[in-house]
Amino acid sequence: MIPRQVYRTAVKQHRAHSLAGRRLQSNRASPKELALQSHLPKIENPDTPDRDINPKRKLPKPAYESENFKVPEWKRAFGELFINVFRIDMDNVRAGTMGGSKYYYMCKDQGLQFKDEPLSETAVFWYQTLGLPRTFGQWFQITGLHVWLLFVRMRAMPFKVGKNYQQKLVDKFFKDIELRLSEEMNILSGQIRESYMKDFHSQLLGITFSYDEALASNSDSVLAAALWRNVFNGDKNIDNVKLEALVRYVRMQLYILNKISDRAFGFGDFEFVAPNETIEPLTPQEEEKLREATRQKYEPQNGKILPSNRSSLSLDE
Amino acid sequence: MTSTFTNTAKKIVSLLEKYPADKVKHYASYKFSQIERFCNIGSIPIPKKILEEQALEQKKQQKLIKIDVKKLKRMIFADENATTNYKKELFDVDILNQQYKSLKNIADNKWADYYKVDKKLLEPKGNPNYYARLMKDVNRGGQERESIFDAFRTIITGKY
Repeated sequence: MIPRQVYRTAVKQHRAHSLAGRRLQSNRASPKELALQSHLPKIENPDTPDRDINPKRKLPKPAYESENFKVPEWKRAFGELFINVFRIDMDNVRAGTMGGSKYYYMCKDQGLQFKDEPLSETAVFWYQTLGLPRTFGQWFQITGLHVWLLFVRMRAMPFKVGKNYQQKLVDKFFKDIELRLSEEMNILSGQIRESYMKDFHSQLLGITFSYDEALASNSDSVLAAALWRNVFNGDKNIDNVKLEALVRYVRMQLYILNKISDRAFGFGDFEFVAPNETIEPLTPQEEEKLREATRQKYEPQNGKILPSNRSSLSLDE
Repeated sequence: MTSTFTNTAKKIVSLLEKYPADKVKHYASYKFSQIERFCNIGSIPIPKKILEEQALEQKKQQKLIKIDVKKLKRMIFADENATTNYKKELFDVDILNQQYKSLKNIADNKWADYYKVDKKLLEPKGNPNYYARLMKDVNRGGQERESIFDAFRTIITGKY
């Protein structure tokens, strides 16, 4: 199967239908199927019981993050004029709208769950297939894993831009945690909230460090140990098949992040591969096609680029 | 209990022994906890080498952290069951073989090789020394400090 990014950019923008046919050809099991192959029944861990979130008030997702949100035509035109006249650095602006908003909500939605509510497609993988406890701390671990995946890619952007994206992502993450603690988890005392936030901060440092170590040493066993410590809460009765499924999931995301260009990533054209999907490594021809499609989308030949779409990010890497 | 069952458990344990030990010490070690678990399931004694390694590490940890958490826990929760329940009765040969296959895939770096990541991520443009410097620290066990000049360089340039 071709990564969704490739599929999206190549098929929808470039109408390269020859790529679309290969989407379902892969016969490898997706991480979810891999995890379901295990015959070992779930062994409850008494240290981490389910503590479903019963929200006092649910935090709404901003309207501009919904899929069919459209900016009115006059606002758009005014914006373009404004950007053009004042020569605004759009890479800087995009760090907030993409890194701090779109990408954050993408990470957040992966493991989001509430009491007595049906789980989303991705949450089913985390809480039912992998059998993780339904707690706030677990949500933080899942979100932290995805935030780290984005960090890895942001480091590979030019220093100034990448740092900005990272900063906006972390800011939004902790702002949201604080809001969730007060609004959804009913923690009224600011002091207690603060102490939790400090705890989450040191946890995020640990997450970043241990996964980075695994990536740098290019070893699945180090990554597995890091995932066991963080995502699986160091559960001694862990099902190793599920651990392997998660290792596969993480490696799959890293592969896509490696292939996507700076420009496409910076413009928010990245999506996590769903746990029930699988991808095949790209052939050199497909990579060339992907590059061509990206170029066509962001810098079409003899086409004008809108002021808001200007960027200094690389199209090739 | 059949002999194939014990043999599979033995196979798993000898595979786990080849796993790399954590370079930086954490609260729990995946390698040791899994060896302990599968030894228990297969009713095999824990290998001597592993026990020695574990004892060495515990000594180190005691030096590092003055308070022994386990001792404290035992003092507070006097009647708490110290041993974990490994649910031995749930396992059969088929399940153990599955576990072995997964552990083998992880040990063989199957997915890292299948989804290869190149220099673009490992020597990132914005921060080329990031992973090299991180690994330098990790290989020293994460206990030694860097020189003050390196620290200043990080503060001034923002690059790790």
